Amino acid sequence: MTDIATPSARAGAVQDAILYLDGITVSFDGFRALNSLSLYLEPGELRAVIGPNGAGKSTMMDVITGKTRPDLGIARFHGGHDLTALDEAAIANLGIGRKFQKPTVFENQTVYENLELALKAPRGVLAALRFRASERQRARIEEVLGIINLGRQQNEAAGGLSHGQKQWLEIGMLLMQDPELLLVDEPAAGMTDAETMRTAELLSEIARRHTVVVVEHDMEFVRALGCRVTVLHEGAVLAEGSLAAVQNNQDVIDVYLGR
Amino acid sequence: MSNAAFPHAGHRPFLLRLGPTGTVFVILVPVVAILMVAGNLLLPPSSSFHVPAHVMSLVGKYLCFALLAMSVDLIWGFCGILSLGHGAFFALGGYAMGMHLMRQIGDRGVYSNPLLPDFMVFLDWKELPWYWHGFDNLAFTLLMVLLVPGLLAFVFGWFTFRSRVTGVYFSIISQAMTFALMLAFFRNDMGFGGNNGMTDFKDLLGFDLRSDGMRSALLFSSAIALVAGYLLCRRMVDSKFGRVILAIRDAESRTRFLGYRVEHYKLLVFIVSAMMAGAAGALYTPQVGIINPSEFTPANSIEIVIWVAVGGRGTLVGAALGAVMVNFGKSWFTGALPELWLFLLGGLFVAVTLFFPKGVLGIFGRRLTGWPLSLGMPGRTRPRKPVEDATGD
Amino acid sequence: MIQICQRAIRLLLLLAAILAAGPFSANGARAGAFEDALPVLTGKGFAAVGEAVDALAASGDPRAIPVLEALSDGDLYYRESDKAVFLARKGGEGYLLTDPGTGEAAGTGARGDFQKIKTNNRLRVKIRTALGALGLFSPDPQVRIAAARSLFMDPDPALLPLVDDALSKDDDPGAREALDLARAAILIKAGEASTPADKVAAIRILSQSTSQGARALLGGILLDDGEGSEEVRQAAGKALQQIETRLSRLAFVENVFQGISLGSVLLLAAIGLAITFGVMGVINMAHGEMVMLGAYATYLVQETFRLHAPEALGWSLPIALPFAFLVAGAVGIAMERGVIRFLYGRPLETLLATWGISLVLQQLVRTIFGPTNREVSSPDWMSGTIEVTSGLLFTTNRLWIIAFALIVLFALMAVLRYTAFGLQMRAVTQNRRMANAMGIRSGWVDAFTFGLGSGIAGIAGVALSQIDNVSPNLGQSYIIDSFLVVVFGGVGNLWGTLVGAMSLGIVNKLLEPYSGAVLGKILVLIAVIMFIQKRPKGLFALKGRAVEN
Repeated sequence: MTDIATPSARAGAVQDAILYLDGITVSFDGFRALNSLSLYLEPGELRAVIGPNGAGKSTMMDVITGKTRPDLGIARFHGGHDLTALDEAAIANLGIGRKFQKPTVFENQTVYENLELALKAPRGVLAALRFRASERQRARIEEVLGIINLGRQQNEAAGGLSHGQKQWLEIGMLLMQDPELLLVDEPAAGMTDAETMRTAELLSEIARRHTVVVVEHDMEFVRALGCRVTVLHEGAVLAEGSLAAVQNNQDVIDVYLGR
Repeated sequence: MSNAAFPHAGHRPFLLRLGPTGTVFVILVPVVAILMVAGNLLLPPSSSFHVPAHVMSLVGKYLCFALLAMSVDLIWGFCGILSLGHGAFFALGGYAMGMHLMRQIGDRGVYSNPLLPDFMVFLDWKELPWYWHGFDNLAFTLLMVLLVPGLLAFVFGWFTFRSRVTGVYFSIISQAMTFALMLAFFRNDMGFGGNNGMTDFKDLLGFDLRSDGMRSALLFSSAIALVAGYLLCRRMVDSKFGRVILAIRDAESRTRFLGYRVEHYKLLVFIVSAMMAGAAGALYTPQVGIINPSEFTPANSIEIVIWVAVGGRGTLVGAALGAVMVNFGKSWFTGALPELWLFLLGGLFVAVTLFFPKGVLGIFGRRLTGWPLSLGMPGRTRPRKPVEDATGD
Repeated sequence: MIQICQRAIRLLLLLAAILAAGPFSANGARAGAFEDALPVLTGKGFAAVGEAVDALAASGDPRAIPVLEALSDGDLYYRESDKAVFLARKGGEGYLLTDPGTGEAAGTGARGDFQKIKTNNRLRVKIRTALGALGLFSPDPQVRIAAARSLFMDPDPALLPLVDDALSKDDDPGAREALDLARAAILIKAGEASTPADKVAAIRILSQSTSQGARALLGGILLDDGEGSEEVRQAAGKALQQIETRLSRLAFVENVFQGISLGSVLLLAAIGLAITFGVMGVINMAHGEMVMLGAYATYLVQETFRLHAPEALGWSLPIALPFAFLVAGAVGIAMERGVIRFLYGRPLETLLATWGISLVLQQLVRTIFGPTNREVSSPDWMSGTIEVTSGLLFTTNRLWIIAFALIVLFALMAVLRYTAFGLQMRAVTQNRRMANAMGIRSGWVDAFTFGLGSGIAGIAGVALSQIDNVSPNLGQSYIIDSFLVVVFGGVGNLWGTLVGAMSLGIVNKLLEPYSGAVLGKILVLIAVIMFIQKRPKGLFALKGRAVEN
C-alpha cells in the first residue's frame, strides 16, 4: 500500500485526470462486484490492471463504458463529463474505446468493413445513409490494415479470421475510432508467445498517443508493457505502483498465494 | 451484395450496382406486369393468351404480399428484429385506403346516405367521426397510408428500442400489439366497420374497381411499388447505414460501444419497413375488394415471416419470391386439398428453419450466378450462437 | 277502497283463525285446525273456499301445503256422497285418490262421484299468499327462509301478524333474519297503517341487507311523494347509501374473485411456459396446443368412461390428469428431440419452427376430431355455487380451478427443489458444461424438462376443458396471455409467474366494469407493454452478470 494516495488527497486533481473514479460501488443481488473503487489516470498514461478472477476488472470496464450503472460513486472523464449519466454510445463518442476479452468483431462483414464501421466519422443515421469514404479516410483504413497486418485479408469476412487475427482486428478498430482513452481487456488471451509480444509492442505503440488501460492476467505481458500497475481485489484497489513494487507488496502476495 | 464484391460500390453504374439478381428483378417485375396488362386489355377473351380478370387480381395481390414480405426482410433479414406485428401495419394501410374507397361510394350505398358509410347509418350514427375527415381526398389518404403505420412504428419502436427490448421479447410484444389492434378493430364503436370491416367498394378516381382498366392500373401500380420498395431498401442496405444495421444484427452491444445510437438506427428501419407494409396494404384493399379485422390476426403476421424465410432472408428479392411462392401454394392447395394446407404450411416452418435457413435464393442463387446473393449472410461464417453473448466475460 | 275492506276482512279472518287456533305445537300447527278446515272447502261458492284457505293458512299445518297446491292446480275434489276431500289425479277410467290427512293413496273412484273444488283468480292469489304464510311455519328452516323471502319481495301488510307470530317462535338465525326483513318490508309498504317510528326501525333493518329488493324499497320511499315524514325520508336516504356502499364493496370482492379465477387460468396456462421459456429459454409457440391436447385427452377419457363405465363418470377427471400429462409430455419430448434441440441458441428460429408445429397439431386435431367444439361435462362435485355471504356467490368449478392451479404450482416447485431430476435440471440450466462433466446427460435433461413443461400444459388443458370450449383453437387464445404473464412476472421465476398471473387477472377483471371486456383487455395489453418497456426483465428480475450473459 506504499504509494497509494488517499482519494481526498487526489480530489484537487479531478480536473487534470483523464479518468477519475472515486468510491464506485456496484452490487448484484447482494454481491459487491465493486467495493468503493477509486482509480485515477493521467493523460497519456499506460496502465495495467491485474487481479484474480472476480476482482471486478470487467465490472470496472462496464462502469467506465456505461454498460453498468454504479450504485454509488463518481466517474468522470476529462473532469467534466459524468460517465454515470451517459449511455454506451455517448461515452464512445466522447472518446473512450473498448476492446472486449473475447474478440468481438462483426463476423459477417469483411475486415475492411469492420474498420470502416469503426472509423471516426459522424455516427448519426442520416450521416450513415450519405456516407462515402473520402480519400484520406480510405488511406487511413489502408494504414491501419498495415499496422495490424491484415492487408491481405481485407476483403474476407471477419468471421473467418484466426483468434489472434480477430484480436488484432479489434485493436485496429480501436485505432480507427481514435479514442483518447482505450480500455483493453485481456488482449493476449489465447495468443501464441510471438503473437503476445507483437500485441505488447502494438499496445506500447498506441500508448504513445493515447491513454490506455490494459486488463491482463499474463505477467510476462504486463512486464513487456513496462508500465504502472494497479492490483484489484474484491472490488477495490489493493496496491498500485511499478510491477516490481507491486510484486513485493505483502498484501498482493497474500492474495495471490493465499494466506 | 456484400461489399466484398464491390468495395467501392458508389462509383459503379446504377444497374451494375444492383448486381445480377437485382437487375433481373428490377427489369422483370415491370415487364411481366406490362405483359399481363397487355394480355388483359389488348387480347380478346377468346385468345389463349388473354389474361382473365381473376388472374389479374390474384397476381396483384401477390405483388402486394411481395412488397409486404420485403418490408419484413428489411427489418428481420438485415437488422435482426423479428417483428410479428407487420400484419398490423399492412392492415392499417389497407384500412386507410378502405376509408377512402368507402367515402367514394357516396350516396350509392344501401342507405343512400351521402356522408356516412352504410355501417355507420346502421349503427345509427349521426355524423362522421373526426378521424374520417379528409379521407375523401386521395392525396390525403395516400399520405395517411404511409403516415399512420409510420407513426405507430415510431411510437412503438421508440418505447421498445429505447428500453432495449430485443429478440423474442420484441417479437412477443409486437405480436401483442397486433392482437390488441385486432380486438380494437373488431369493435363496432371504433368506427371502422367492426366485424365486417369495409367492403362493397365502387370506384377509385371515378373508375370502376371491377373494370379491366382499373385492374390493370392497380396491378401495374403494385409492380412499380414493389420495384420502388426494392430500390429504397437497396439504397439503405448498400450504404454505410446498411452495414451498421448488419452490425446491430450480429453484435448489438459491440455496435453501441463503437458509438452508434442503436435505437435510432432500429427506429428508422422499423418506420421505413412499416410504411412499406402500409403501402402494400393500401394497394391490396382495392384489388381484393375488402378489408376487415382478420388482417390483424397474429397468425397472419407470423405467416409473412415464413414467406421471407422460404425465399431467403437478407436477400430482399428472395422475400418477394418467397411471398409469391407460398401464396401460390396456398391458393392452389386451399382450393384442391384444403385439409393438407396447414400441414404443409406448418411443415414449411419447421423445414425452413431446420434444413434451409438460407431459403430458396440462398440455396440456388449462388450456384446459378456465382455471386453471393445473400446480402447479409456470407454463408460460411454463420455463427451458431449469437455473437451478442461475447461482450461480457 | 274495496281493496282495503277486503284486506281488512281477510286480516280479521286470519287473526280470528290464529287466535282461535290457541296454543300451537312446536312447528306451529294446532291439532285439529287442519281437519276442521277441510270440510269448509266443500261449502258453496268462492267465499266459502276462501274462508277455508284462510283457515288452512292459519292452521300452520304442513299438510295444508299439498292441499293448497292441489287446489291451485285444480286437482282437489270432494266426494259428493260424504263430502270427503281428496287430492285426485286422472288415472285410467276414474281418479287416483290421495287422502289429504295422511298423504297416503286412498284407492280410486269413479268420475261421476266426485266434484272438483273450483277456484278463480282472486282465490288463486289468496292461495299463493296462504302458501307463503304456511311456509313460515314449515319445520324446514330453508323453506321458512324461502317463504320469508318471497314475502319480502311481495310484502302484504295483511300478513304482518302472521310474520310477528312466526318471529316469536322461530329460533333459526337465518330464518329470523329473513323474517325481520320481510317484516320491515311489510311495515314500509303498509303506508298510513304503520307509524314513522316503525318505519324508521324497519329502514334500519333494511339497511343491513344487500338485496336489490331492499334497494328498491328504500328507493320507493324516496320517490313516494305520499311519504310525509321527513324523518323517514332521511333514514331511507341514509340506509340507501349504506346499501350502495356495501353493494359496491361486494361487487369489488366479486370482481377480485373473478380476477383471481381468471388469474388462476392464466397461471395454469403459463406454468408450463415458465419451465420451457423461463428455465430453458425455449420460445414454444405450440405451448397453447399442448393445453389443447390436454383438453382433448380429457374428452377421450370421458368418452371412454361414458361408453364403458358410465357409473364412474365422476372419476374421469382425476384419471384424465395423468393421461393428459403423459400425452402432452410425450408430444413435448418428441418436439424437443425432433426439432427444438437443433435450434438452441437461436430463439427466433425456435419461435418459427414451434409455430409451424402448432399449425400441424391444430390441423391434426381438426382432422381427427372435426372442427367443432367437443362436449366435456363437469362432474357433480364441480358444479354448483357456494354462497359466501348474502349476495356473494362463488361457482364451485372456479374454486376448484383456483385450488388446482396453486396445487400444480407448488407441486412443480417441490419437484424442482427436492427431486434428483429437479437438481439435474437446475444444474444444466446454470452450467451446462459443468453438468456434463459431472456425468449428467444434459440432452435428456433438456428433453424431460421440455416434456415436464408440456405435460403441465396438458394438465392445464384438463382444467380448462371445464370452463372453455374444447376446440382445435383452444390453445391459441392462451398463448399471448401466457407469454405476457411469464415475461411480466420475470423469466425463470415461478413466484413471479404466480404474481404476474394474478395481477393480470385481477386488473383485467377490475377494469372490465368500467371499460368493457374487450377494451379492458386492450388496456391491460398496453399496460403490460408499457411495463415491459420500463422493466424489460419483469417484476422479479434476476440481476447480475450471469443473467446478462
